Amino acid sequence: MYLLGEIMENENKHIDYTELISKYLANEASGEEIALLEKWVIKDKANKQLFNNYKQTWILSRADQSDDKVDIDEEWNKIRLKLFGDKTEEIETGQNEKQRKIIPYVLKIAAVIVIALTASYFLYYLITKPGTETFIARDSIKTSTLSDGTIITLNYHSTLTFPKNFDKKIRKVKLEGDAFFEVEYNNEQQFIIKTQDVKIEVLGTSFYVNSRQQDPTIEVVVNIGKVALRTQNNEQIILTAGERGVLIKSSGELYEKNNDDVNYISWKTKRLVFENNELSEVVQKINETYYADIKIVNPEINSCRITTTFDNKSLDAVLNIIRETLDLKIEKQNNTIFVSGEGCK
Amino acid sequence: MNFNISYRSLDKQLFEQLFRDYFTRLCNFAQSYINDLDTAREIVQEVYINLWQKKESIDTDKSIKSYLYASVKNRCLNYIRDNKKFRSYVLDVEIADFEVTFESDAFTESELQTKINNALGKLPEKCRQVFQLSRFEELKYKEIAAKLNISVKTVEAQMSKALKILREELKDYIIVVLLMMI
Repeated sequence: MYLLGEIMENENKHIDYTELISKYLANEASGEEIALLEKWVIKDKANKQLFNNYKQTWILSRADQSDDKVDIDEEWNKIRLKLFGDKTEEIETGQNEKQRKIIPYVLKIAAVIVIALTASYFLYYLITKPGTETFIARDSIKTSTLSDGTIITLNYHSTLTFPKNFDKKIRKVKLEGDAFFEVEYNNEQQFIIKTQDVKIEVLGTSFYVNSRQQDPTIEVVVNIGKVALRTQNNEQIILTAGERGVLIKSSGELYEKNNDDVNYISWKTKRLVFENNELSEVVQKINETYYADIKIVNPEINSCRITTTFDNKSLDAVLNIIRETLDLKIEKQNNTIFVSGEGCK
Repeated sequence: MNFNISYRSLDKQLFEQLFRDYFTRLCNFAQSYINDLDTAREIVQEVYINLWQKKESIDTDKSIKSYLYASVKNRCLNYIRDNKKFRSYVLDVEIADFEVTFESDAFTESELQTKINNALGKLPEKCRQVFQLSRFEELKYKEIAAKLNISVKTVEAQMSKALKILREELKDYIIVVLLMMI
């Protein structure tokens, strides 16, 4: 027995336990290997600690990886019904026409705005504020006017949560997704928008916020007035009309630039302005604006250029104009629209 | 956000905030124990329901965040024990009884996420590829080897290397996030 023990010890010295732990965590270890690891872990407190340490590293390394699989609104509604028994309020508007469910592939950037506000006051506010309402836009664009006169337009798949009655000092709402705000001016009642990670505060102005969870950045474009953005590291920039603020979520980098996209709220206004834009850009913008799924069949037509303005036209009307201007062929199959042509000189 | 408040003063609004801020993270955390999103979601739902119903009587010095993580961990361990879902009882249940404690405000969630992304970025290219295919895409070692045209032995070595580097990079966070009581 003594001899056998000795041999085992010697063998164990050649085993790379980090490799074994990795295999175990990755679900690759065999029964024998698991037995070996168990023995090693029980033998010594330091081994146990090392194993747990690696296990925690393994857990941490995936801390935020599967966000898209959990529908937080659905989960919240489930627990809300169970605990409080009330239903989600969905405000319906005239703009509720059923449109295609297709989400076009658009590399959007998201963003966040904040202004100075002490955490304690915010917390005090959170604790004391009364009941909330939820305003959800799923497969359509929705507009609503809040009790203070502020007008909110939500893009597809976006949610705004706001209190039934605003606090005297602060008007606070929470946004998930993509929205245009026309905030009613009130210098005694600041307006705060909380997004995923940050807060946005203004007095009265209109601006656009894209804070979709899946996007790598948070983006704010100011239409009228001034908005301050501040990250959690207390970096701050002030945006004025015509400027765009971008926060890169992964690095925390915050910067401002001129807003060079005149069509940034076309999804709301249905007004599209093109000035010598390439067809590929035009198609992408139309897809975003109409939630359409237009595909260019042959790349030769990508570089065809268009200068025109569409003002509140239907998708069909827009397509007709483009087809006639560039002599293209347009075919519909189910919900997808295929565009082809010979190319431009 | 500072959730270092008393359990009694937890009202519906704060509860919703807690739910929206941590539900997904807790599901991810639960999935480290239980590789099944539906069960993970159910467990996290139960933890929140319990928090709301028992908030008057919860007697602990822990922050609500620590309480949530610890409750999820305990329920997960009970689940894998009762349903015999462990690969090894010793490794998955018995020695997993470390304390989960968040020292409130030591860091924010986004800081942690940045730190994790940075740590992943520190891995050598090949090493990161292998790790991500295993950890995020849940491919088997054999599949990874075939996909990257390397041997299974190399996959094993790269995984071990990745874990070593990540452990070193995340050291401070591991201590803060999951304080072990052995």
